[in-house]
Amino acid sequence: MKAMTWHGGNHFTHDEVPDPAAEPGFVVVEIDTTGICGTDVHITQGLFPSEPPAILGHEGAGTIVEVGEGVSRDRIGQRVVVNHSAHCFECWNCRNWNVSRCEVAPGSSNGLFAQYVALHSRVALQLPEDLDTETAAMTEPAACCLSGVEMLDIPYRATGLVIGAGIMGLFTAAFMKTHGVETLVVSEPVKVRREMAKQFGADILHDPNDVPLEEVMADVTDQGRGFSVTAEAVGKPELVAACIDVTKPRGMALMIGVSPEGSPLPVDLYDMHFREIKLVGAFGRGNVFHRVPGELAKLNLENVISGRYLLAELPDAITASAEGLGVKFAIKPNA
Amino acid sequence: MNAMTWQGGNRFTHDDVPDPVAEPGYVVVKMDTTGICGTDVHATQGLFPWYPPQIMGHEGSGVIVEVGEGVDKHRIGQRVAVNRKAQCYECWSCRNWNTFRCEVVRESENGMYAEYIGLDARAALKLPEDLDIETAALAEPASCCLSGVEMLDIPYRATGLVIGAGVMGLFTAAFLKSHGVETLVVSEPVKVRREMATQFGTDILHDPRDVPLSEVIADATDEGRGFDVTAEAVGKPELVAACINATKPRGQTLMIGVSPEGSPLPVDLYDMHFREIKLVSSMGRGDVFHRVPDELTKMNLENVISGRYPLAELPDAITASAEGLGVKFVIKPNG
Repeated sequence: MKAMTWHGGNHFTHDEVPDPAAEPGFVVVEIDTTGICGTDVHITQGLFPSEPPAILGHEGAGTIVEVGEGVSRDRIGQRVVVNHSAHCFECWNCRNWNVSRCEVAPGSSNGLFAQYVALHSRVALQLPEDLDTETAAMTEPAACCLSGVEMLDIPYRATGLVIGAGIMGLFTAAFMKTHGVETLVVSEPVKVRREMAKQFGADILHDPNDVPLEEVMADVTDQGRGFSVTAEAVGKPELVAACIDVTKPRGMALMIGVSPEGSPLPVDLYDMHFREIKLVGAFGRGNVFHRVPGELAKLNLENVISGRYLLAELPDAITASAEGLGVKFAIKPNA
Repeated sequence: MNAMTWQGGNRFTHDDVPDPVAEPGYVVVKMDTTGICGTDVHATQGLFPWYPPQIMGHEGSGVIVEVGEGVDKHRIGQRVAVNRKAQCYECWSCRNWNTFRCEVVRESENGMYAEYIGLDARAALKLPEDLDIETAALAEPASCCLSGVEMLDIPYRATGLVIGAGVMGLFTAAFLKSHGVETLVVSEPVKVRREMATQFGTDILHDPRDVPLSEVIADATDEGRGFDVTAEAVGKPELVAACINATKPRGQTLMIGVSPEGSPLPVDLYDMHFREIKLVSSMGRGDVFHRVPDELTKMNLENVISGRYPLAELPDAITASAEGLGVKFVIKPNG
C-alpha cells in the first residue's frame, strides 16, 4: 500500500509499504478520511515529542475490508471510526488513569496517513447510520474535548470561556454547551474560525484583536467576577495563564491545547491560590471515544472540513493547517 | 488596653490603645491565646501583601467579657474561638465563593495581638467542653487545612503526601487521614516537626535531606506511579512543582502554603497536562470554621505549642517561628 513516512520537519516520503494483515482478533480498514491534527503540525515543528521515521495520522474513519480469526465476517463492509489505541481494561493505566493510556493492548499497525490500517476489532467502532464516514474522522479530536469537559464540575447557570476556535476549541465549546454552560464565549482572532464557533453553540464571539478579554468578562459574567469554567485550546502557556486570570474564585480552568515540553506556567501563583482556582489537565481520549460518534451525529458540522488533499499532498495539508486559515484539513488516502 | 502595633519588618510598638466596645450584635473577648501564623512571619519579611501600621493576629481564643445589644447576656463568661470574619450569606462571595470571603460583614477592628477584641457575636464560637481554651487558638489554621482537604476528591485506599510539617502541614496530614487517605507520607527536613507528624496520623516520615522523594514514591505508591493526592504546606513554588511531579496521573495537588505574590509555577506544563493532573488552590477558612473545634477534640495535640510568650515579646515569638525550630508559638496577651 501507499503511505507517507515522516522524516523530520515537514519532510515526508511517499512510500510503498507492506499491506497490514488481519491477525486474529484484528480487522483491516480501508481509510476514507484522515484528519490533520494540530499535534501532527506541532510534531513537524519540533513542538511535540516524536521521533522520525514514522507514519503519523491518528484521526481516521473508513470501511472494514478484511477480518482476522475470531471476528465476525459480517463486519466486512462496515463503516467504522478508528481508535488508534486499544485497551485491556486490566493494566495499571486502564484501572487508574484511563483506557486511552493502556500499556498492554497493541495499537494500530501504522498511522493513518496510509491507505490501510490494521487494528483490534474492538476499537474499530461501527458508525451510527446518520453519521457520514468523512465526518466520523473527527471522532478522535472530539473525544479529547469530551474527556476534558467531563473532568470539570459545571455548576448551574455556568458561564464559560474557550480560548481558541481551532477544531479543539470548537468541540470543547460544543461539549461545554451540552454539559450545562449557559453563556459561552469563544475568543479567537481568525475570523473564519471565530464565526464557525456560532455553529458549535457559542453565544458570544470575541476577537482579541478588537476588545480586551477583561471587558468581555465584565459584561458577561455574574458581577464581572469571572467565568465559572475556562478552557485553553491553543497550546500556549501564556493563554493558560490568561484563562486562569478570567476564571472566577473557586472556578476551574481546563488545559486542552498542548503546550511545548518544559514550559513553566507564567501565572501569579499567589493570585491563583488566593482565588482558589482549580487547574485541570486533560490530554487524549480518556474513556469516552465510544460515545463520540453518537454525539457527532447531533452537531451541525457543515463546512468544518476546510480542505481535502490527496495522500501525496500531505505536506501541503500540514502547511495549510499550520497557517490556521481553516478549521480542519483532511487527507483522502484512497482518492 | 495593651496591643502590639506592627510598624513594618519585625518592628512592633507596645501601645496603649482604646478598649474595644460591644456594639449592637457584638461581643468583647478577653484573649487567652493568640497563635503566631506563618502569614504573620511572611508579612514581617515582606512576603505577604499586608501593610503597616496595624494590629495583626488572627488565630485566637478567649472568654466573652461583654455583650452588645441583641446578644444573650448569658454568653458572658463563655469560652470561645475567634473567627475574625463573620458572614452575611447573601453577598456574591458568600454565595459563589465561600463565607470567609464575605464582602459585607466587617472584619474585627483589631487583630489579636492585643488584650481584647470586639467582634460580631456570630463569629465568636462557643467551645466544646472537652477542648481547652489554649488549644482552641489552633481552630483558625486547622480550618484552612480542612477547607483545602475537602476540595479534593480522595479515592478509596488513597496514598497521600504532605510537604512541610509546620502546623499547616500537620493539620493537612490529620485531615487527609480523617478523610480517607490510607497511606500518608509527610516530608519535612526539621526533625522536631517531622516527628510531630506521627501524632497527626502520618504513616511514613520522610527527611528530604536523607532520601530523595522519588524513592518514597517508588516504595509507597501503587506500582510507584505517584500519590493520589499531594499537598504543599510551605509556600514555595518549587515545592508545589515537586508535589505535581509526585502526583499520579489524574491525581490532585493541593496548594495550602502561600507562595509570594507574582511567583510563576516552575512546572513542566506539558507533563502536568499529559498526566492530567488537577491543581487545586485553597486559601483561608472557606465554610468550615464552625466545625473545627469539634475536630480538634479528636486529635492528640500534646506539645504542639512549642513556646508561650507575653504580649510584649511578640518580636521574639515571630523570630522563633521564622527559625522553624518548633511547631506553633503563641502569645498570652493577658499574661
